Amino acid sequence: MSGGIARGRLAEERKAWRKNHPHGFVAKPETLSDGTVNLMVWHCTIPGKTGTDWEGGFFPLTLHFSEDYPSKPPKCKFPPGFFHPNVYPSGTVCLSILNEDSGWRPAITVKQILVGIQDLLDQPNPADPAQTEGYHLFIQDATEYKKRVRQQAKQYPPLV
Amino acid sequence: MASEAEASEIASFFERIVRERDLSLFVPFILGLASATPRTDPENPDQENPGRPTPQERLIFINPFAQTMMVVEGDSLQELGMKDGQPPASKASIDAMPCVKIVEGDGGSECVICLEQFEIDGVAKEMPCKHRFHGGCIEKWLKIHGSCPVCRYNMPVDEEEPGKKIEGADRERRVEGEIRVSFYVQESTRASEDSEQTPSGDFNASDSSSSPAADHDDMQS
Repeated sequence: MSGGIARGRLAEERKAWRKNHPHGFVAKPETLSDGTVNLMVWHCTIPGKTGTDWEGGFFPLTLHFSEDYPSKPPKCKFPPGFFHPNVYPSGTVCLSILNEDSGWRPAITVKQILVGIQDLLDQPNPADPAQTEGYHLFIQDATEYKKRVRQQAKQYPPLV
Repeated sequence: MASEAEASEIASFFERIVRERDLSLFVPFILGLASATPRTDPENPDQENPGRPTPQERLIFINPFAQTMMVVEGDSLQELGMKDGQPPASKASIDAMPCVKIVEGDGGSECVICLEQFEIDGVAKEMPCKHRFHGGCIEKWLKIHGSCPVCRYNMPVDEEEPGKKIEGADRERRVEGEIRVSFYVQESTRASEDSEQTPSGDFNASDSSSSPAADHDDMQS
């Protein structure tokens, strides 16, 4: 790989994020035990939108960037077992803009990814199921689905 | 594929129908026996590649004229309908992008790929849609997907080798996913349904050249 631009781009993303970012969101590169910063992994928080069943939840999301970033999208993961029709059992988010073969474009920023995932929380895409439980409840049992979403929001209260 | 057994079960079901000549039980074409149950592969729970689980879909084509039944498995179904994004831009079109000099007035603009500011008096590559990027940045991207990182303007695609390769691989995979079963029908069925047969004929096009022939025999008998 000839001098990847991944780190340079991520440094710029970090600058841009510090300058300005949407309210309630957190995004910061991982700090290793020896104090050095690893730009390739970011720990983020996505707040559930107000007025939805996701409200009150602050959902932890990890972005894993590869050396091919931004030609390839980062892999975005919630904790394993996260309840949502478009989240794989492993926690990986399934979203068109994060698909390197269709929706991804290098111009998509970390901010756009996080806001996109926040939108996805309350607007699942039933055409692209990634887990059985979330998908079936969403399709078949709206009441139970709602209950599960609210329960999960309580599981992730704001830190601090 | 684990569903192989199920498929042969279905096949034997139809064989039974045919043996008992109870043709009223099925119409010339049964399309789309599909279930949307997500299937997760324990080896690779994320199935990163197309970013979706492969639903267990199965499309069954029955053609009493050609006396064939074809089962198409979910994976190949998706390939029929889904493209893997914009293919790489042709080398010629990448080379043809003009270099533009960045002047004072462009100040403050950045290359959205590396997010670095363009230097005044520096050079940028300009795509036909007028979006500008550093040469190295944009070339790397266009060799993966030939579309503008900003507006998705599609660059010309190399028709030759990459296309051929993909097509070849595609065909191989598609054949893997198909199970064909031939059966023999004694009563020849209504000629009026002849026209409905075309979709299945098309579908078979890759290698079931036998279908017109079988059809012909049937008509004669």
